[in-house]
Amino acid sequence: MIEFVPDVNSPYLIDECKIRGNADLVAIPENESELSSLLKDADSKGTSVTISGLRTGLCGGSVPFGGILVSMERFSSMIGLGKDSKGYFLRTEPCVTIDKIVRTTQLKRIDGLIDITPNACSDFLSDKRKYFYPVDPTEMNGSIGGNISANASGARTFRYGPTRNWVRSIRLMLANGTVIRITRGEHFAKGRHFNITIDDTHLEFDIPDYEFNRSVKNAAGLYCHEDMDLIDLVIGSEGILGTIIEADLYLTEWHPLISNIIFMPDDASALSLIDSLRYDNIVEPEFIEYFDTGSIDLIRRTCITDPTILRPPKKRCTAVFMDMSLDNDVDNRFQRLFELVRANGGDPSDSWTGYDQNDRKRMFAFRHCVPKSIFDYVASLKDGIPKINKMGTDMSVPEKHNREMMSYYDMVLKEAGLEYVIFGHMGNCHPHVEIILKDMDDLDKARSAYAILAEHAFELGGSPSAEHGIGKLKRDYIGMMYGTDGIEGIRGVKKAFDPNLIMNRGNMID
Amino acid sequence: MRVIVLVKQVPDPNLVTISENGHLQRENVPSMTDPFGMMALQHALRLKRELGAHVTAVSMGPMHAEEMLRRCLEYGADEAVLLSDKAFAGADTLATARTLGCYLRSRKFDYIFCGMQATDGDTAQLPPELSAVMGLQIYSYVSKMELSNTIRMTQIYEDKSYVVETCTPAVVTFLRPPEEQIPLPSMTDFIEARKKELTVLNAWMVGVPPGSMGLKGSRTRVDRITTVVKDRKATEFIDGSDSKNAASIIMSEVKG
Amino acid sequence: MSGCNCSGSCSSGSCSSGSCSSGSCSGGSCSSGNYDNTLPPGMLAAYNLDQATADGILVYIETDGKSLHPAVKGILGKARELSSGRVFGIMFAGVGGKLLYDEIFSYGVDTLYHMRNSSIKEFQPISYAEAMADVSHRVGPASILFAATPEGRELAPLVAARLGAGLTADCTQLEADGRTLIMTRPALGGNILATIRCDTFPQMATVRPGTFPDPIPEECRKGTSFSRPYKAISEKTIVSKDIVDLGEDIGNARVLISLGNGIRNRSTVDLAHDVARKLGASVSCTMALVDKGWMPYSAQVGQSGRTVSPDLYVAFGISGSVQHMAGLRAKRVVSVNKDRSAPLNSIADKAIIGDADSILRDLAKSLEE
Repeated sequence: MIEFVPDVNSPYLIDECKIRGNADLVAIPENESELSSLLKDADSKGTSVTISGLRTGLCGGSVPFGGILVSMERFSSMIGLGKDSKGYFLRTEPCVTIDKIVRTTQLKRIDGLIDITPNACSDFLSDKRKYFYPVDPTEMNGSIGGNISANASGARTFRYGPTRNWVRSIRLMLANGTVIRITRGEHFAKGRHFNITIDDTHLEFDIPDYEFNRSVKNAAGLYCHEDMDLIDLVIGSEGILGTIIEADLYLTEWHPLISNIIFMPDDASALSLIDSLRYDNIVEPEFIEYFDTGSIDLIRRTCITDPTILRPPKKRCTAVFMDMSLDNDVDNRFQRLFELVRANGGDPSDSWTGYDQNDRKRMFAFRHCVPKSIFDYVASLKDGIPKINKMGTDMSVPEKHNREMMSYYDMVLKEAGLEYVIFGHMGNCHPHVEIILKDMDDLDKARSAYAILAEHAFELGGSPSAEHGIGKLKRDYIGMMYGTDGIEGIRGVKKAFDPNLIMNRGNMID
Repeated sequence: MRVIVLVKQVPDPNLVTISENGHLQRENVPSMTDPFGMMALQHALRLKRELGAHVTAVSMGPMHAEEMLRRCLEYGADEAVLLSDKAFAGADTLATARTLGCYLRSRKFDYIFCGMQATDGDTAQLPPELSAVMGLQIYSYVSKMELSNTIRMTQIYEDKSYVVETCTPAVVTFLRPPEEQIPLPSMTDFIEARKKELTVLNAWMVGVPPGSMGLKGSRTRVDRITTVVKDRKATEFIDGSDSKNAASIIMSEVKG
Repeated sequence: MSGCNCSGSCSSGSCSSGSCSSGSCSGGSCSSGNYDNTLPPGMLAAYNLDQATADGILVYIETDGKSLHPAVKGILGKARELSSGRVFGIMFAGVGGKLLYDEIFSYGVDTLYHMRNSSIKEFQPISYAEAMADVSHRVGPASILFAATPEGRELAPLVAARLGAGLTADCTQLEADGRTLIMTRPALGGNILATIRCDTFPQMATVRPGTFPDPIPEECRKGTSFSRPYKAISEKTIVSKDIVDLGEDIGNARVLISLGNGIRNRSTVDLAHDVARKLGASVSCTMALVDKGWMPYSAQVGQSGRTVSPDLYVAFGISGSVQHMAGLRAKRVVSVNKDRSAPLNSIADKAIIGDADSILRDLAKSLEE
């Protein structure tokens, strides 16, 4: 096990939210037993332990504030392949990137993987169908352990759901160093009470009283509901219950897709098109992403410095990016799509379509241009204004309130005199509003606007944290949404798993 | 004006890897049009846009290369031709040039545009060999074209850059894509491409003599393939968040 | 016509004997069966070398008329090493080319063909190819070598097609087994090496510049020279010519500062040039930066750019695509990248995980002091 005292500037003390933490020690365990002894020792002394994978989180979840920072980077192998009644699954250690998982499964590069169930690997190889892991967060180089801890989502969540839907089993190491295997379908709460024994560990506790909103994309707080499966409690728990040292992920069948970027005349027509597309059973979109007029303008500005980016049309427009199946029905799908585009004031020839590897790469690079240019822009401001940060929202609302929320964003932000772009997972009524900050003044205005928007989203029956999670940055939401009872409810669950409260202190609750 | 564009279907070069025991891992790797051929297509489409040229995409390859040619039609090529036959397999550049030449001699054209080279082990030999077997002029390493009464092309040879007045018919290879980006096909382009003509021809239809195609027509043979044993030197990973420190590490490398 | 003893250039249509007794019957209607084997005239090899007597190595000596192209020397040296017979050279130059004879002979050439045409002042590929094919037929070498410069890579295939010969490009290794040439070239980004042989003579190859070391010249070595006129055929109409300033040639640099797509700011490119100047290094880049217009094509390292072999390659923000790594043969590699899993890191001696722009900036600052 590697251990060292981190330098103040160490990359181990910071994640993608760019807030720097501090730790007395950084430890990089080689294997389960090293991690176990470390935790046992820390538990006995009450030393706080923060677990980190690849530190791509956006809420400070893997940023330590004192104590030990444990990096799981040595837990980076994929273990094996299995098959059960629900399909193939991949067993892996937590610090493997999503990109690697997708490539390995899609390209069937499985040499070195063992059979978790008999003949799984050979069946997989000889299976003519293709398979893949369908959750596609924008950051494909995050760790699967982190993804599970935050219940990560991506564009494809529209069709396939979040990470939660694909986790079959987790081996969780508790604060005292023992490991329990939690497999879906094996341990359930009775009402709101859990009373279970796994191997030699006995867990008895109540889940929090609050209603966790399951009708929208929601990553705020502990997922819970009556008679729930224990594994769902761990998924999205942001490390407060234990450390994931192994996970099984289901794979789904892959089919060829065709990507389309449709340029609608304005925001309103694009949103109407998305409304009619969302549940259309002829087009059957895989996902629907939205880029408002401001985002397209931003891309136009970026094109000037990077001629490799696809050039958007000269006239002002709003983009709808959607994938659909490339199969024998593709003509029908297009016919229907053309009808819907025309009905909403657009022209089907104002579009791009691609299915070739190269073209899809270019289309995804186009899409990625928006968050990337904002990121680069803020990074360039950081020299002069060191405290500046990206201010983006992560709010979802039920479909019936989506248009209202969209107008509300406009109203609040315009009143605050802020410049912003809106883009994102409109299929799930979950866009990102990125505020283009010029100075610290803007940052303050943005913070207050953000708080107003979060409350409104919640009032409309949505979630102020749809996919990024709470971490340390957004703890206020827990109080706002669930009250002090909610916070204590979460603490109660945590105490059952981690009586000395050493694991990932500060995530979700303080 | 009529332009032929030669394209090739290749596996995505960034996804083809070598396994631990030295095997080429090409299975399941998605294919695409070779990027240099795509570059040539873009130049041809520029001529279509600005001069009304008729563009034909031609490829010699296995049957699934049809998909790639269909993509060329979606981009704007007016028609596509696939030369496909088991007998073409194993062809080196000379055999390929002769096979393509046998087909292309039946076509009227002003230019044959090619990518400078393909990505899957190619050698940039095909375009000049093709020009020689067909008795055509050749303009290699073209970085840009100027369209007026005639077409002038800028060729770059290391430190020398020539502007030439082109004559037709000629073979042209390109170094760079056109300055003005060719847009991706639209959804309507996709649907309309289904109506365009994609012809598949085998060896008999093309009329290639057996001695000139495939393995038989090749003059070079791969004797063996060896994996490069990379010195598995352990990469030393260094934390670079302190950029001053990182800079001094680099300085000592340069000096040392 | 009976008993067609095709032992030389069977370049016309009808050889109705059934079997050509030379190695390569690349044309004529050898009427075996009903199949019409005829290739139209353009497709035939213009020349067929006598397979039994092919011997020696012919090297294309690229020159601008005033000096030899640097890549040629290594090839001449290798040709001398490989050939148990004679080494021939062929050079296209004006009368000033005579001043190069001594140097050419000193590198091991026995016989030099100095091709002359006073009306041709620039590289004319087809004219050169016709002339060279004719000389090759006359000389009958076992192998013909070119440097894989842009000129060489255009000329060699034009000659190969005329001779119906096999051509292997971008070789990194050449070995001789008697008259047989064994050629090795990398493929798949340098991950595999393919060993190639030709079926017939001549065997043709182009060699990446810098592959073979310059030979030690043998002063006062003598050779024979022949001045031969050649015809202008299918000349290109050159409207204008420009010499492009390549800056420092990255092919010769001992230390390279190389920039990739991870560089966010255009201004960092200028910083890199600054740093390079102070360190006595050169600046190279990946295709991505050339596509963005931030750096010239001459600085591009990779399969479709240059192959470089510096002592030290410091890569800033380069992920390491297969095509890029195909051009990299550095002794030591230091990679600066935010992404720990960048493929370039796996071949790096040191991988600094950090922000490329900031580190380059600090490097520049530290050099100011």
